[in-house]
Amino acid sequence: MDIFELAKQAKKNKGAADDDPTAVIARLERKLEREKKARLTAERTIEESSRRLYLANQALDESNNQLESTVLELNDTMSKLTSAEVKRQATTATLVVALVLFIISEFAIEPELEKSIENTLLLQISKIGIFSLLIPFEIIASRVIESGLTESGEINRMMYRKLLESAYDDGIITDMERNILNSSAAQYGLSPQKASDLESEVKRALGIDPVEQDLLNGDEEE
Amino acid sequence: MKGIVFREFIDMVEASFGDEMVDTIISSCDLESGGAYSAVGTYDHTELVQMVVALSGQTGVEVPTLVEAFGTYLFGRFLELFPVFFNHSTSFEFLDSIHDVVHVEVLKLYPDAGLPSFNSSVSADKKTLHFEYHSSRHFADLAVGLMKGAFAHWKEDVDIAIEDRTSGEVQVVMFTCTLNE
Repeated sequence: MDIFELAKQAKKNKGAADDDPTAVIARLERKLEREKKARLTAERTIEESSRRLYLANQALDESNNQLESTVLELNDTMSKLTSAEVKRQATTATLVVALVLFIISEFAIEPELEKSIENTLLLQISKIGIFSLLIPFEIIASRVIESGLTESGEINRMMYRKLLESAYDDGIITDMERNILNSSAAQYGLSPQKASDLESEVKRALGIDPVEQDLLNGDEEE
Repeated sequence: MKGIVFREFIDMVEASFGDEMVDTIISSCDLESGGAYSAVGTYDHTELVQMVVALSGQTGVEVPTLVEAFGTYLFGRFLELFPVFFNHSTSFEFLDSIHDVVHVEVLKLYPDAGLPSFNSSVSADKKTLHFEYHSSRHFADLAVGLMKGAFAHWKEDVDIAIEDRTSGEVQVVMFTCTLNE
């Protein structure tokens, strides 16, 4: 049965309430006292909760900073590894060039020289001359190879794209992600214009609406 | 038990029996909290039991009847305060979601809340709901009141068969609800 009907029936059985002003005031005073006590409990609970929230937030901030520096470190290691890989490839290419030049000089040029020059001293001087003429070739070749690998920046752009893709995975760029992207772009030698072009490309590829993204950024700044 | 239940009980007694009754029952009980309840606090559930017993003594209404009426009143209040949990199309759907949805949300907000647990299942024809209540607080009557509040809200005519399966400390009650059409 409904509580109000139960009350109606109970009141019928019991008769009128005590309306004596002194009793009413005493009752209201007790009620006021209870309300005050309840308010104090509520305030204390809320203060404790906000303190807990504050501490939890601080801990989160701290671990966020740690994560950020770990990511930066990883990024740094990754680019070091990449440049080491480029250097290794360049060294291999240079060795191949040197070997080819050596074979040419040893088996093609030198036999000719030995046939035409009788004087041993002159022969030695000519050999050294040819060898020193080949050194600039080797240097030029290795430079071309190395710059072909790094100057095109293909690897750097690829790495920046990968970073962008993982940052846009959830559709938004957090402050931390923005910091990492900026410092990585600088490390990869990408100009701000190039970096933002790549970013628009990635956003288009992932189907992220640029207008919506601006709105989100706007909200963050408020 | 969460303070909101105590607050709602006090408000209900005040609205139905008057603030004199609230004053009388609080004065007659030995309550650790002194009867000062805040919705964000947590209090010993035996205080609620004491107050219901005192209310029964004052009004002559049986304790189970009062607890059940409070359950129905509480359902109406929850509906007003947390409408987001009541977007189901039938009462059975709602009751079936309490343990896995509603209580999960409650625990997110109040990890220390000691909630009753429910095993529920709806029959294939959706006309029968088996609803097993487990609680160390022995408020099965409150659950009946809440269920009746739900049936009234969805304007359904439902019979409840109650079977007490308690064997130890924890109260276990199986409710078999049958929908009449």
